[in-house]
Amino acid sequence: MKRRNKVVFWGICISIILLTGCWDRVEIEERGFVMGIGIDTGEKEGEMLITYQIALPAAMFGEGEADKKVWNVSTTSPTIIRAKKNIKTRVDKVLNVEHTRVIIISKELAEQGIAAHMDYFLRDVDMRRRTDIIISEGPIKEIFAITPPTARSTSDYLADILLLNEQHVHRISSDVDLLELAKNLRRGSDFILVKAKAGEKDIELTGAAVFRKDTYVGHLSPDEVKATKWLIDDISRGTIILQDVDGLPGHMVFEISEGRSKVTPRIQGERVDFDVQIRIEGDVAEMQHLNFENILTQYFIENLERAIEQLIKRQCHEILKKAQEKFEADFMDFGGLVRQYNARWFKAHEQQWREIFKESELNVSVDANIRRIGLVQ
Amino acid sequence: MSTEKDRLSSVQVMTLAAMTIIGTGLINLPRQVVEAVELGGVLLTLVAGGTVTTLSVVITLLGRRFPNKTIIEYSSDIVGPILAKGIHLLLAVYFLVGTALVLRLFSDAMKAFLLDNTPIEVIMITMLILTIYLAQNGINAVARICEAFFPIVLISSSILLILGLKNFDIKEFYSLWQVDLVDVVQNISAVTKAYLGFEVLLFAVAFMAKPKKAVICGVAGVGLTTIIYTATVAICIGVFSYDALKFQMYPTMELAKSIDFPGAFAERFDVFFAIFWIVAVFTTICVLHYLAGFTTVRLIGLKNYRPFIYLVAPIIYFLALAPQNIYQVKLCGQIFSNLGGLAVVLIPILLFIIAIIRKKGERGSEEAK
Repeated sequence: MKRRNKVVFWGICISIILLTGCWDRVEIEERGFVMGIGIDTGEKEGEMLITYQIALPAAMFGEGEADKKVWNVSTTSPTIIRAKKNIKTRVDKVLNVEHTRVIIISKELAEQGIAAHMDYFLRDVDMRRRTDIIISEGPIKEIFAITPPTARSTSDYLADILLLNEQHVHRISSDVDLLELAKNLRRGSDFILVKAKAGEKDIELTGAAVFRKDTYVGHLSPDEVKATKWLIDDISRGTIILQDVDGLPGHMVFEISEGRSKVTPRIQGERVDFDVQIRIEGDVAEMQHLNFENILTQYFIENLERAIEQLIKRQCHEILKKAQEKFEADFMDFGGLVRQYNARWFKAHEQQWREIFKESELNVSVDANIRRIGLVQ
Repeated sequence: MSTEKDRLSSVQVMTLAAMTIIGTGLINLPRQVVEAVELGGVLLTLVAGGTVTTLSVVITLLGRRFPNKTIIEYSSDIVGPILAKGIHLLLAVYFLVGTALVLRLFSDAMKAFLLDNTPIEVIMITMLILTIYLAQNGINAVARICEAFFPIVLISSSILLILGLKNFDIKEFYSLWQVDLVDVVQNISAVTKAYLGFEVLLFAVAFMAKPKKAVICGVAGVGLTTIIYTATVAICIGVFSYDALKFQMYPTMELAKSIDFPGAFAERFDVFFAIFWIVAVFTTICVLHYLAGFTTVRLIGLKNYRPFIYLVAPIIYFLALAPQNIYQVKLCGQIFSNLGGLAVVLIPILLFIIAIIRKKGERGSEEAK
């Protein structure tokens, strides 16, 4: 009896080890990890040039040469999934998009609308929702050709800039991932995306791309991005440069340490105005006037604060004017804000929203506080 | 009936009710809610939960009037054997269809998320073999499994919801005061189907060690589910906003997908969540499978339910394979919820009222003295 129990016990143990397995398994060596996907316009009408950046794990973690860490495979195809199938005829790995970090869309394609091409990324089960969306100024090939020395791949490089520096540089547009983009596309609202431009050996984030619904309509410079970020409650630790404060020569730099902005829509019949309250705190980070002794006076600090407040106010009004007149796009998503605050009103006025938005005005109040001045007076 | 030792404890009944309700509804409820009403999604879930909690009070009170009797026995006490047979038939069909539907919904979601090369038949058969194994040991074994798994499911869904708070936008709820209450009330039935499963109380009360606590157990079980469901719907609305939520097939899974775990050491949180969701669905199918066997055997007039657990399995399997596409599955879901509205909502209420009028059952006979 005892012997039989033993046999049964070991039988179970062995079968647990030998028989369990996964029907859908793919060994890790057989996988090709797609780091980034680039979508560009093709030569023919209705075709796209799609580039997959595939990581070569052996080279990535080994001593491999710098230019051998990734492999960029391009193909033309009318749809995204077809491109994947095309690429599979040329790559000896099972493509895996679970670690895809960026989707780069060329400006040219974005001008024709991106909504149609985003469906696959939302429908496919393997795509992460944290994949960043970036608009490229030039052709995608130029972007993917660049692998900076500090990064393992272009995609990692771009995603890491956004991940690590977006919070510290006010001039980089807030990163938008698939989740955020899906919300905007479903709602049909306007938005901005990060824009990148390939240089000689690196890639620069040159501001933001403005989208009306899903179509690219224009470009925001880094300074305009900064102004936009005042209005979308995404204040990063950027700097504000002031000139001519109190008649001082040179520039004066204020670095934001924390900030918060609150936009409240004020609905008056057929008209909506917005109250903007911005509160920022920060330090004096740089003065181009050495040996200035009066910095530690209430008078000077207050003066500086007023100057900062005036500057932010002006920037807010300028960017709204630009949105209303030049782009005719509500990329600060004020419409979404109105919808959240008063859904019933917005539902009734959804069709006329663009006209209503053009008439909207801002009522900005800024409260800037200088807390510290660094290590020298 | 079973001996004193095999009786269900109060906690077991509570978890049995909760785990039977929490199943496939957990991952697609937010979409169903937002499809029904836009703004009042959270309110609707809460109100529907409240309605079902009230129903569970009725059901447990009904069960308490007839100690040691399930609906199968006391229905013939209340309305006579002929009408009771009709009720039995309805219940048997309801549980067969219910088991099949949950099995199908589960397999579809599994195929979409985890096992895209595995044939759906294999997923179903594997699940059925497991539920047969558990269900043939009777309601005690099932209840014990529920008791053991309940904390796991509770904790894993709490983790999901807490991590989901990171992308949560409270502004989505600023318009809550504009909710059209009439609209909410009209759509209660559309959401109640996610709470189907509470009908296990129609049977469980008979097996309780302390039937006096039945009402509290039922309310606690359904109430806890209401809290979990309401929180899930709230977080999903806050993260995806109404417009994007409407398009998600499995919003809660999508929520798990969109979580970036602190420190990024676990990138695929959805797989982690899916494991515990499978546990939740397993218990649901198990209870329904058991009840399908139990009602069928009583319908035929036999006593031993064990062979019938095996016998109904092929029926469930083929019923589950009957819908040819996802639209037909949705349609079956609607049919099932209508059937449920009749079988486990309307009939218990009617039985309860008739029992009071005709003074049947324990308290009724006391009053008669």
